[in-house]
Formats: sequence, structure tokens, C-alpha cells
Amino acid sequence: MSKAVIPGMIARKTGHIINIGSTAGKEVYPKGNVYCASKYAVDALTKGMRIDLLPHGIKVTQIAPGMAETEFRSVRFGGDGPVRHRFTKVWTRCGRRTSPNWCTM
Amino acid sequence: MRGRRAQAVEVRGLIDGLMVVRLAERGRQVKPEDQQQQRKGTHDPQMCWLACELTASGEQEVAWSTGPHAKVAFLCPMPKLILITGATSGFGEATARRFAAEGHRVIITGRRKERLEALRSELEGMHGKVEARRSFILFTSTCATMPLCKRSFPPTGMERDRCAGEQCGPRRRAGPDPGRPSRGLGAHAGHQLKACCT
Repeated sequence: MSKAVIPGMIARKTGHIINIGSTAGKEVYPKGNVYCASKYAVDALTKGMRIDLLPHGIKVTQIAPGMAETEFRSVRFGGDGPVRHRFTKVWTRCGRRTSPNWCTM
Repeated sequence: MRGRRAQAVEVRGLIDGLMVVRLAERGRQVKPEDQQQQRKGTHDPQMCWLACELTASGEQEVAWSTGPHAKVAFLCPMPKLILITGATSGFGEATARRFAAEGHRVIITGRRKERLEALRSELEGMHGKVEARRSFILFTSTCATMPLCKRSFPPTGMERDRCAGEQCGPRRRAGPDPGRPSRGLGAHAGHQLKACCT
């Protein structure tokens, strides 16, 4: 995908690529081997692309969300089980808005 | 002053707390009470007034959030073309709604076609009037998206501000090299990138 859009951005000398990483790309956690490896790869890819593309005026950013109430979360925590409710409760109490709609505000 | 007040503010829809409204008549002065008739919930009057100011100065559509942390968002004067991967759920979907509400041209991509269709029809319903200069294009695989990207982000010969929908093809006339058709992954740009990497 980046290969497709980057040439146009280079020609226009502007652009912004935003990769969605994760906190799993910063620290590993048990039983998250492959996922963490992938997200570490996103981290490295972002940094590499940034070095290469910054001279062309293209910004490369990584967003590393923590806990958020997305579909991935329900997959990981086993649907609407008790873990999910505990998670939501704790994080709402912490004052965090965990909905992706809030995250994009 | 007679005739200076706008008739009403038409509520176009509610997108995740973002209310999209449109002035009944363009360029007319709007007062906060006009919007208070239409809106629901509590808003910061100052924020609404700011939205009115922007509207009266020529912006036809405004959007503001209805949440406790309300802030005014309006259609940006220079809409950007934004490609979102994985727009079927989660962050991608939220981002698509957000950018669409702000008036950017959004390309949504993802694997689940039904969801993309639903999101597209929803966004088009919300922003029917500005649909002409915006395109909600969907493709269900990366392979199908690649040609679109090359069209939407052509390397050469395009005007920055008009690349929506069918107008987004490479414009050979405006290019620096008129005789040469611009290819997606142009040798020129690729060479630049390669030179940068080495």
C-alpha cells in the first residue's frame, strides 16, 4: 500500500503516512509472540520509512494505541465475557475513553 | 436587521456524537438561537457561535460534537485525500467517520465488503451535498486498491485540489512532461526513492 502511494507523495513533496502500531510493538506480553513481533515490525518499518521519506517532505507517523474497545479487543479477550467488562470498568474508572471514536477526537 | 437571519439550520445527521448541520441559505447571518431550535442536548453557546461565524463567512456546512468535550469542527477549506486501510471496524471506521465529518475526501478500504458498503452508504447519506467533491471508494483487497492508489496519488501531473472520483486520473496536460504518460510507480519517483535509500 505504501509502495503505491509514496511515488505520488514524493512527486508532490508532501504527504503523511500513519501506521497503526500498538503498545505490543513497544513491550512484549505473554502469549503474544507473533502479534508482538508483527507490531515490532510496524515500529521498525515506521522508523525506517521516516528516515527514507523525510527528505522528500513526507511525514511518517506511528500510532500505538493501548487498550481500546475495538473488535480486536473482543477477539482477544474472548467476546463479551467477564474480562471485557472488567477491562471496561477499570479503564473507564481511570478516566480513559476507550472507544475508538474518542481516540480519534 | 430585516432579512439577515437565516431561516433555519438543517440537521443532516448524527455521526458518533458529531452533528452535521447545513445552513438553509448560504451567507446569511445566523444567531445562536437559530441553532438552538434545532439541536439537541447541551452545547457551549460560545462554540455554537463560532460555528455560526464560520458558516456565515461562507462555509456551508459545519459540524460540532455533542459530547462533554465539545469542540467545533468545520469543513476544512482545503480538503485532503485520505486513504484508510481496514475501515470496516475499530480505529479505521472511527477515523473514516471523523475525517468524513470534517469534509475530507476519504477512501475506505477493507476486507469485508458488506461492512464497507454499509459504511459508505451511511457516510454518503450524511454528507449527500458534498458527495460530488468527495469520493467514498471501496475495494476489498489490497491488490484491487493498488490501481486506485496510483490514480488517486499520481506521481506527476495532477492538481492537488481536484482528485476526487473520476477526476482523479493523471492529467497529462498539466504534467511537466506532456508527451509521456505518467505511470503509477514512475521511474522518476522510484529513482528518487532509491537514491534516498542508498
